[in-house]
Amino acid sequence: MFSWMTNCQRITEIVSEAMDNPPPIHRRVWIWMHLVMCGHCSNFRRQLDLLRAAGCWENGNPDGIDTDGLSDEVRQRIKDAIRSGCR
Amino acid sequence: MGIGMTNDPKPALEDPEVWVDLYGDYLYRFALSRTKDPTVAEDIVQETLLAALQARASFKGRSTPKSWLAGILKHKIIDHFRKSKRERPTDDAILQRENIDRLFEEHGAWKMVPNKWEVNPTKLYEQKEFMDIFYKCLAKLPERLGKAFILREIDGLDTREICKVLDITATNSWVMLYRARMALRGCLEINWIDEAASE
Repeated sequence: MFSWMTNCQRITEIVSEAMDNPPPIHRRVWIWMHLVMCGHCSNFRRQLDLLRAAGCWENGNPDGIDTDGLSDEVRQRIKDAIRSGCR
Repeated sequence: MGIGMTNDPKPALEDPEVWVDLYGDYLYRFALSRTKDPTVAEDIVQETLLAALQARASFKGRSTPKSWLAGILKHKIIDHFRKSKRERPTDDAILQRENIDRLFEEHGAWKMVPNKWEVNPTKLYEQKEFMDIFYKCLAKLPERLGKAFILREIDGLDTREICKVLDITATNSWVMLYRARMALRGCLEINWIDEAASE
């Protein structure tokens, strides 16, 4: 038994690193065992999942916001800016 | 028509002016949902498209033009919050290890336990407050930490690519991402949980 297996602070570091650098299978099992036993670290893990979901979240009509979109005037202004940027 | 064309990146990228017609409304709605200010949202859309024009050569077709533009837009939205006086980045002290150590007992048990966030990751569109605070908290991160998080979670870069952009080692990148996540979740715990509790 490794000491980090019962150390929540160390587990948070390992859980975060696992999101960027997948650990070997035995370490994944140990992480899983800790998360099963520890509700706080389990909540932490879900928080990190949510941060990831929020980062890559996209929606064609965010928040169902009520707007017609860009006005013709603004649309033209942006096109003019792009045209000058192309030169 | 716009949505259909997003499946083929090439025609949409050939004429940057077409971007305005294809993606302008989408980008505007996204920016408006975060900034709540039509004028600011319009400016951010313009800045996004001009930045995309500059970076057009770097578009590798790994995503659709729409996703690529949305990625640039998110950077611009975070820049906007950073520029705002109220949303100045947190002091670099947050980088210090003590800020994380403070959350734990000496033997590593939680002292300030994480709350259970009642948010369904697949229904973020229903969580306006959460997404608002997420962006504001992201803007408050110290610049290098914020950059590392954005590269990883918004741009979807892997460790090797992040190390190249930030000129750091892999281990360093994981430490930075850990600190960024800890700071971000801490900010959300304070600002979002309190807001949710006050409703």
